[in-house]
Amino acid sequence: MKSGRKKLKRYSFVLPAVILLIVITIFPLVYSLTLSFFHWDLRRPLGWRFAGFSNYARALFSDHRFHRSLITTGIIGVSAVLLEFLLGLGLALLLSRKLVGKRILTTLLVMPVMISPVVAALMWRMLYHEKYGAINAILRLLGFGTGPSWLGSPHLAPFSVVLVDAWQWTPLFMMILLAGLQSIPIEPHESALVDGASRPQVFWHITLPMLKLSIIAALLIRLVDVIKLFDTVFILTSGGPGSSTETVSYYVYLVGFRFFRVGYAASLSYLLLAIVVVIALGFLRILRRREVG
Amino acid sequence: MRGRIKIVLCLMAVLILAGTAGVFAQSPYAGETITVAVHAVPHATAVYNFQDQFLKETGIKVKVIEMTADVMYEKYMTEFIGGTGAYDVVQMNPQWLADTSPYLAPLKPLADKEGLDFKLDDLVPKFRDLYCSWLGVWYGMPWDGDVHLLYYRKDIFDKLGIEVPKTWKEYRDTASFLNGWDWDDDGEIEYGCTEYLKKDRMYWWFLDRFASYGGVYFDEDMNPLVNTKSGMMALKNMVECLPYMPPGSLSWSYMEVRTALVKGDAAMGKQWTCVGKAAENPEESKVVGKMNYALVPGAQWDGEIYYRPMIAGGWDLTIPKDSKKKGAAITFLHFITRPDISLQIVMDPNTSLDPYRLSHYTSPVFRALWPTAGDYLDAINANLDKGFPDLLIPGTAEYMNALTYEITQVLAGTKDAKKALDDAAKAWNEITDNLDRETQKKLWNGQYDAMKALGIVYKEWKD
Amino acid sequence: MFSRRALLKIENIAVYVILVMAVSLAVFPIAWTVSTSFKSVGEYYTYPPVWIPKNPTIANYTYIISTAGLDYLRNSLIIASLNLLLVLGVSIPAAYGIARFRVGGENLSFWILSQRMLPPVATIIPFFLLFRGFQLFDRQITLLDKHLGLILVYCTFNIAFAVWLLIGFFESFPAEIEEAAVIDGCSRIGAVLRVVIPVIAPGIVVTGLFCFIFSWNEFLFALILTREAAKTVTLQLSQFRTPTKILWGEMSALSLITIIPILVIVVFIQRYLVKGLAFGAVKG
Repeated sequence: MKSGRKKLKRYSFVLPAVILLIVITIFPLVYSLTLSFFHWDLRRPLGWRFAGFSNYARALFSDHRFHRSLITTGIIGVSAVLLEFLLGLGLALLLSRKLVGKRILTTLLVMPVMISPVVAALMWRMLYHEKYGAINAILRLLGFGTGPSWLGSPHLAPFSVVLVDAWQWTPLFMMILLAGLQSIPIEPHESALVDGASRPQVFWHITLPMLKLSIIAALLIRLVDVIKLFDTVFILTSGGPGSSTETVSYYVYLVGFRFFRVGYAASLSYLLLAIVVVIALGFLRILRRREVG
Repeated sequence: MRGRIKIVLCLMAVLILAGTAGVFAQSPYAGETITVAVHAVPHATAVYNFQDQFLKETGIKVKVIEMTADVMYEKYMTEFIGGTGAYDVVQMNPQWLADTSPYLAPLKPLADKEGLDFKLDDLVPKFRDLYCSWLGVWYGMPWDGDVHLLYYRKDIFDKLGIEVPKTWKEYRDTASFLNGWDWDDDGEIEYGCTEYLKKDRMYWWFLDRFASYGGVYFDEDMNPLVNTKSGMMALKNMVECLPYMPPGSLSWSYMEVRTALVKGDAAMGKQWTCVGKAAENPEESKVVGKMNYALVPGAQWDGEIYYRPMIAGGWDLTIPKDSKKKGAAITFLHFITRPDISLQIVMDPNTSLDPYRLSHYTSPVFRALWPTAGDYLDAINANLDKGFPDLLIPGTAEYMNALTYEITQVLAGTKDAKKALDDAAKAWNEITDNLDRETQKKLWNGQYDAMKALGIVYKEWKD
Repeated sequence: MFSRRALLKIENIAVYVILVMAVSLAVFPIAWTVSTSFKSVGEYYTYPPVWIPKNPTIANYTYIISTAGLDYLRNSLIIASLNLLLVLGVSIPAAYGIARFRVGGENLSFWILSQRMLPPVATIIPFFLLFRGFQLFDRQITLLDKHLGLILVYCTFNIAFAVWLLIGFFESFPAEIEEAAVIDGCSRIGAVLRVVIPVIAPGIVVTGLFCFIFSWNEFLFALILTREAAKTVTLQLSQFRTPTKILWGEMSALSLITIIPILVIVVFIQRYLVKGLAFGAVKG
């Protein structure tokens, strides 16, 4: 009896969040999941027509553009998140020292996330301009010649997209890790240092494990978000040149909101959801195995 | 005496009432407020400039909703399928008419009911017949007339004694000659030509080459014709011209191309009509008075050159079916496209809106706006005369996107031209099947017949 | 060779050099935006670029203030802050429950995370149809173009973010200390409020900051679910890009005005970040 009440009490912590989420999303989720088994094309007044699994079959087996966009997303996403994580961790470690002017440095470093992504992408498009852009102007001043064509080359364009994403989202890692570092108890570090451990050892064996949960959460959130990468690509390259920067969210957006194949877009979205779930679970499992080992 | 005063007072009251009525109730819809969704400034400027006059003349208030141009199509569609009736007048791309016509109100019954004369004879026939109606039903009034022109640097061409290219081959050769050296002696390297190659809307720079080499979108049986010799020739010319464009062109859209033209970085370029006005604006232009305008090049057939400049886009104003104030809306449409009002709008460079009425082209005021304004208007007219229309059937956006996906890969050097065009044709067939082949075929033939009437028919390129 | 103190000094200098370089990379595009906001039309595309406008103009700022730009800013503020309150209000207990008692196990926390995964394209049309509402007598009950609509929709991705981050922070807090407080006579809630929350405050403020920013910068839902009355400033910013013109100056001016509220928050919450120092960090 008592344990039942205790259980109920514990559940009451999560109930508000769960109920709120269910109330908000139940209708859209059921609706779009149903829709993914139908043909519904807003361009023609035919209404819903049952499609069975044919939307999914097409996405899995014959839509090569979808497959290509998945690979592109993988390349851009993994490089962006890794870059952001490493830079963010480095900056957080530096900022967790005792520094004069730390407040102002931190504030300045967080500024990129405050700019609306649409404006950021437009600004970067201007900065990347081969002739009138500020980046190539600086390269010219430093004597590096005319500078590359940042968005116009199919080889460089994905990298340029990664750079904009990293510029904007590195502060997220930095702040989360900084907050994590601030709440770590100091004693283990000091005793380890007294015991003669080198600072890299302390970092690797004491600091990092304590940050682990924050790191996992931040990495997962960014991975999920980078798969939804859309506005930046939309404005910087529209997915070009060729297919070099066409991310899966951009493609799904086109299918749903430019071509208005709403049913097919829903099935692409659920496939994408399945892929993200598998990746995220795999990611968590690998990290957990590490913990056991 | 008293009686007289009473009569006079009564008369005065009647007069005052009639007077106010005259000011405020010239339209039966006086007092209504309509919601007009148009592109943000600069386009919206046109409505802002004239909404007071409209209020004064009709008593109808206008509430402007500025739309983000890139995403207004998806915004409209959601409002339409939701049947919300949130907008009374919407700015619409003619390419979307096929997709959105089920959600729009036909204009003729509305105009007849209000007894409004839209002076349709004064519209450029191609805009009127192809871009304002669909399946013979009239849905929109033009708001911005768009066609592509070939812009070139008259001073440089004169100085070097070169002819304006008439064919795509000459265009390529001229671009090659003018590329990579400082022809205007400003200490910078200049380039041969500039084109819009960013993946979103670059198909317009392919299509007029394709069409002048004899291509049209489909044959009568709805088989795609992009992968014919016409398509190959067009794509080959594009690839050949690429080295003569400024570096980075593969990501360039309207803004960069316009900049290259008005800053004097490129000798020629194919662009919309609004660049002509920008080139004469000393605030941003380095080439004031140096730009001239010509027919977009064509292809040399036996003894004749086929010119097919794209009538690329343009904008209509339409009335959604679910609008609850259609009477006021049609009154507004009539007002804002009236010859005298619309002339002031299209002459104002702050609106970025371009002429679409025959009377705009002949207007002496417009022709005197800058020294070469007359040439400019004549060039627009000449290009419109030869103009090649967009694909105007359901799914246009998807057809064009599939085409663009393939040709940009060829331009980026990651795909073979023949393979790419074959894949584009395959994608087009899939789109057609998805939308129902028989319906699409019927609708396409409707458009194709109208094109044939203008003398545009598929002709196989022999080479 | 070097004394310990000299080494420390060199290290400190190196740290500053790296940080200053990082700051300049981060701030450069923003500095460019500041410069652009004072430029006039002729200075947007120039060769070489105009770093500092010759005749700085405040016309762009007066334009923003004279048009409806600031109303949209107010909408964004209302939506982002009310959403933040709602999200933190339900996420802090949820994260605590999951971290301390493993409520719902892996499945629950993963389900919450999955709320962030589905592309908005899939759910936006049903949201629109749902929010369209219904006719009650002569009144239309609707969430379209209402602040509340966006406040609710933004919960879907912000709760996922907040719960996941907060779990990490709660777990890093040693359970023994909390138990000790409970034994000392605190109630469970009292222990959390008085002992746990103050320690993980840096984590909570950072979580809150990013929830605020995610709502602030959201584009697609705002586009479809609002029209004019609840339109956000992010939407307004995207309007400065039109097919025939990019209003660089106006756009820059408004986006800088838009930064100010977030900047204020960041400066304010630094107190918590510095305060956290008392509890640790690697000393330099």
